[in-house]
Amino acid sequence: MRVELKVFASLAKYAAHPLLSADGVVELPSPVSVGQIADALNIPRKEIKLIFLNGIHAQIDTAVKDGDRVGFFPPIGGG
Amino acid sequence: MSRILRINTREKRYSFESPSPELQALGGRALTSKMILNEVPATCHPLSQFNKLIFAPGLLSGTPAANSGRLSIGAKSPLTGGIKESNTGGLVSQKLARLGIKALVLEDKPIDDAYSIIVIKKDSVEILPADDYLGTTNGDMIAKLWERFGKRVGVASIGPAGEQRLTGASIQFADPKGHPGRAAGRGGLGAVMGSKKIKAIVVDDGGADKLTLHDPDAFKAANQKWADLLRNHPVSGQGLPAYGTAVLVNVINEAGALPTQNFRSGRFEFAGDISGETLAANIEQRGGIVSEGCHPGCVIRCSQVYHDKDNNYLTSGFEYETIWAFGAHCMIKDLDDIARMDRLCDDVGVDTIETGVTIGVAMEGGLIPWGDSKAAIELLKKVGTGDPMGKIIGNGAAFTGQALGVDRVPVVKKQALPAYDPRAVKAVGVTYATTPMGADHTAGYGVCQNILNVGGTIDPLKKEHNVEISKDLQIATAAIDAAGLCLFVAFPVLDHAEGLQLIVDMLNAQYGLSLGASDVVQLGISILKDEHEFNRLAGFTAKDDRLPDMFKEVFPPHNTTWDFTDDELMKAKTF
Repeated sequence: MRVELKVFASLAKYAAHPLLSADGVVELPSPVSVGQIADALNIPRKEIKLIFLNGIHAQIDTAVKDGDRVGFFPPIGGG
Repeated sequence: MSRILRINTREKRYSFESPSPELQALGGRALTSKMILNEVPATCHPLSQFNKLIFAPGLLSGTPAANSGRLSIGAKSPLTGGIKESNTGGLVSQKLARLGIKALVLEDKPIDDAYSIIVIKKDSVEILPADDYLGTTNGDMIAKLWERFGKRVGVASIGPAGEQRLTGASIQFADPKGHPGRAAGRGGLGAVMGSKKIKAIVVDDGGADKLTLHDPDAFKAANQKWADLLRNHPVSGQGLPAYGTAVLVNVINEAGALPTQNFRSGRFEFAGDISGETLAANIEQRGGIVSEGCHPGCVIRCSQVYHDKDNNYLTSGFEYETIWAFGAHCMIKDLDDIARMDRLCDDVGVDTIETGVTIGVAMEGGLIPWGDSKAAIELLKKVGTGDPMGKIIGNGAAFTGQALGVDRVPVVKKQALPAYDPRAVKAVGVTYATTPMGADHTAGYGVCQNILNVGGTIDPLKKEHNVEISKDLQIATAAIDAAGLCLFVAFPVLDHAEGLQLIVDMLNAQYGLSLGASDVVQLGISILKDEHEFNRLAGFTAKDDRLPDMFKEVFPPHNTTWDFTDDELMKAKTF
């Protein structure tokens, strides 16, 4: 299945992984969880503070389906 | 004991007085709002001689406490018609505090058109002619005043927009490098300063003694832990210094809450082009400064200096809200052009949030095309020139919307909404509606719990718990503003219980008090009660606590609407 994945701020360095295409798509066998996507791309789970699944907060064990949009962030703030 | 310095701008005379018992324990926003309530008739015209403009350092300002250099400026707002506290960094707060000045109050107004500058030193207060400076931009003003009075004196000035008393006018402050990148932007306080014909205020604390602390050892111990807390929290210690506040562009966009094309959707196709990551990469590549403080003693250092492609200085203090207002809101994706507009705003002296939202309203009204950054720059350049269209833009979003026949005008109490859609970040929507300031994210930053998972987690798309958290944050924010602390200390304080206690410990060690954490909460409540009372006396009612009809539109991608009733919102104002 194809998942759109975006990694931001200090996690952006993990985007240079062969599984992740230049336009931010990762292909994985289904079913898969958010955490398993992070594992497949060697993104340390402890560095991920915020997970968005289609724009909604998700957990590390939330299931992901084909066509979903996932975003990973470290702890950030501003305003 | 610290004193209150009053300056009569008509008679060009000044006086010092001891604060009344009611005012003695107050500072920052607590002091400005109390004095505005007590001394300014709520029904007065904000540009009349009856309004007062009050500058008050926070309670911890002038001490070594980390991130305590924030200044409150209060008045009746010419933009909202209600009470206003606008908060800024820069150099003035700490210098006033070290000079033993608890509040600087500008009163009355001249009957002629002669402008003055005020120069405050350890042993003197001078009110000097300023007609030679008329029309000078804030950037040039600071350079001239530093040349005349010495580098690193504190400067607060107005640009041509303030001289013209436009309701979007800001008061700009020199940052530690002398750039005009710090602003008391919101609420048109630059117009109040312009009405009193004060072009600039210079504060020089040369020769002043250090502030006397009641218990220096206890203060030092608490401040050490305080600075460590700020440095060790990942948001204030890593995210903000690395990317600035613009780190929010991507996360607010990902959450579907980045208001795009005048609040039509929550995702901007080109968010990456205007993100904090792009901003930081440009600075790294071109030169500039990725991370610097807005005042001495800041350990978070979320400000920056941004250069163009040829490595020429463009702007400083380049914030998320500004980048959003001229960016996603206007469908503009050129970060350098957005930086140019930030600089133009700082120089002419207008609020970047108000003005960016106004440019979007002008696009809504068909004056210039969506996304056309060059046309936006040309429009912005008219502000402060005397050109009628520039006057319309400089008066803000509500005024411009009316001038152009626009029905989608994102304001509360005539003040433009900031960079989070209230339908997708409902806690901050409650704050926009109910804060006495008009739409203001800083008054109760529910983005923490709705989006950033700081201080807990609350669903941003539903009503549940969002009124309560907005109310709690409004109380806490008022207290932080009274202390003179940077609002970003809230990130570690919300996550760590000892943070509030350390603030209390520092206040107690400074003043010889025995406050508890509950006293800080009571202080926050008392500030809000004063502000609500002023607005009530000014004629505000529940209808002024509503969001505009445009927020009944369905908002993609989450397809939510603004659905709070008046009664529900009233709970955020009930103590």
